[in-house]
Amino acid sequence: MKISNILTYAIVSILAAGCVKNNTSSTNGKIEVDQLTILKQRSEQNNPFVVNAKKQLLQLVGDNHFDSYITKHGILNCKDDSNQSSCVLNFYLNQYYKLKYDIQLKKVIEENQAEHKIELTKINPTEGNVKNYCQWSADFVEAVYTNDIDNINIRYQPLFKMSVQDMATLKAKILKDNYSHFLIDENPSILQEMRADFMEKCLSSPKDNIINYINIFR
Amino acid sequence: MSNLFPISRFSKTLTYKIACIASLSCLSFSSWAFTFNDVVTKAEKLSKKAYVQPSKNIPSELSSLQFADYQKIYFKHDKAYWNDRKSRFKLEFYHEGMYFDVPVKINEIVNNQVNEIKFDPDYFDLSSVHLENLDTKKLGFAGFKVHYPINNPTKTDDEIFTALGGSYFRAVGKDQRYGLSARGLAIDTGEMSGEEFPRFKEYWIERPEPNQKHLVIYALLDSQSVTGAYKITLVPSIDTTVTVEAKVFFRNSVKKLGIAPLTSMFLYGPNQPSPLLNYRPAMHDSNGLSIVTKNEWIWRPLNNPKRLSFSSYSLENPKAFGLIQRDKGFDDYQDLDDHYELRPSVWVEILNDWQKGRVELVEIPTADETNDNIVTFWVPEKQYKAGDVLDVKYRLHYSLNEQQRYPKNEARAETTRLSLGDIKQANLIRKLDGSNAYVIDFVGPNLSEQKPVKIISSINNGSIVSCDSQYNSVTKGWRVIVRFNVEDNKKPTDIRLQLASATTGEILSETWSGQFPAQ
Repeated sequence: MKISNILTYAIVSILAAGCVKNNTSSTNGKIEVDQLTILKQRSEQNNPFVVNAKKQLLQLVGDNHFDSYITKHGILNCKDDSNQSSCVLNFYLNQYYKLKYDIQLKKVIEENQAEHKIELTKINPTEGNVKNYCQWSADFVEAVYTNDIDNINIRYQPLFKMSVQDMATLKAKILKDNYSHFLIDENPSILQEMRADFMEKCLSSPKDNIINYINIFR
Repeated sequence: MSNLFPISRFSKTLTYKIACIASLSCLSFSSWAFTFNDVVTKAEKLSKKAYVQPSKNIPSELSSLQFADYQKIYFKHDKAYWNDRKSRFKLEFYHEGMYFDVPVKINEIVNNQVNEIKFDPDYFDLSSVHLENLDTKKLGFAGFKVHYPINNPTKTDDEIFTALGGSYFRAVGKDQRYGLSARGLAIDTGEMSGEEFPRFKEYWIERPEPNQKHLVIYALLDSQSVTGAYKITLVPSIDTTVTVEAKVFFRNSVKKLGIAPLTSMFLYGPNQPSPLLNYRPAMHDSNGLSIVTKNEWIWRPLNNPKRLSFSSYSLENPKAFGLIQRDKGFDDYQDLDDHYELRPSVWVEILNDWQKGRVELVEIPTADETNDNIVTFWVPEKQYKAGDVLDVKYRLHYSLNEQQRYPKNEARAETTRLSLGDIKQANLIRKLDGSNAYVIDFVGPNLSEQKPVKIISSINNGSIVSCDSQYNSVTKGWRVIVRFNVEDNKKPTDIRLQLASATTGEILSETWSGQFPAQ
């Protein structure tokens, strides 16, 4: 036998062996799918509890990966169980609660991280910081009373980390203060007096100030 | 049940009628409140009756008092009205005396009820003028004053408003002293026929709530030619404001009506120095008339002329005018008693349409500072006659910060100085050239050394010899020196100046409208 013939034979043998191996894997997958289909059909037959439990789990896992998910997590262990429906029901419910718990846990961790980040951005309530805070919040309130939209939107709302909701609440509160609006219309210099009163109150009790103290200071 | 009682048709009708009247009266009682309209009704009714000259009611001991003695009549502070309440406001009253010889009726409005505040001799201490034994039971109040904690929240006896004599009233803001006076109305001021002085004959003052920061005063005006209903809203603060809403009814035609009159004093200042040597550089409650039109700010420095002087600025729908105390530092006055630097400027902000008319300035010669020799007011073009009605609304601002009202693109003539004109000779010695000169320093955020200016000028009754500008590095503004010759010195000479950009021609300043008085 020539060396070239031996090489050709070897290559063909390797290719043939590869093909045989691929065919075997495909056949196993088909068998698992069939087993899964049969198991699902049998366990769900006349058993609304299993159907509902499957629907619950489906909502969390999604349609596309459902079969591969339950196969991966061992639903086929139920195929040899004497009470397949009970085993499958138990499997679905276990998986559902496990997933739900994981999701909630993840959410809590994310929220804590966000709060932690906010905490890190807060400043220390030193005398100087509180004084600046009171001065700027007095400017801010004055801007709201005089409807100075540019300063509110560009300067103060970001400076005081005011959400849209916070802003709406503050504006509504100031809008309701009819008496101050009457005084400002009558005498614009009363704004300076209001500002001084606001500063005095803020400095004596900054935590009670209406401008977002809790989100600014530690 | 009603069938058990024999009720005739008549008694049924009567019952219904009584019930209707009772419910109507309850309804009207519950909704009744004393308002401006009540004063309007009184003024209108009064205008249809013949004018009755008020009669003087004070004894000679009081009428013969000099001003310094009259001021010694002391209102006992512990008897101040509303002293026993938590109100920020308190009322005190003026005793009759001197030429305040006609009583005014003062009422308090409480819970929609009108209660007269009765005169009580026990309010006053007359011992300083040795009249403590004088029988004053039948007298009345000459006027009233309002106290409010304007300078210090814990100090409640700062006097902030006073109404005394004719339709005169004065107000102050924080850290201010009384300066010029306002009046309800001026009639025929400076006319040969003589001036008519309408008077507030009755007041109604709303009792304020504990936290209230404004006070409402209603007043009924009366004179030979007019009656009027006034609503005066007082808001004390850093600048105090007094909003005046008035409805005036004419009994007779009026030759010259003065709306929103302001009365002040100008004795001398750098624009017209004292003829006598005086360590005080200036003595005045105001040193200029300012007028704001749709597109121009006008500044007219005040004079103490040798002859009665009238100046007019014809306008349509004016925005504001006022008598301004532009010099604000102690150095400008050096007066430790009178502190002219603390006397407020008063702006009249016009709140309804005043249509066509003129701002008139009357300058009366005076030899001392006790005479209010400056009057300004709005004269409507319309001639009012018997049966006519006039509605006006305006707001007076009492301020030490008049510059804050100026737009950033409008430079102000901060100082005006009068001088003899001179020229610098080759040997550097300045030589008088026979002309007069005004030296005006314009200041404003729109002026700088990098932006050269030109001067727009005009004169009547004279000629401009020269008009030069020079950057003033001290004030960061531009100084204008205008040298002029007078044609007829028996007439006033009016000069107008404005700064404009030398490159674009844009107007940069208010119009300085000076008058060199007739000699």
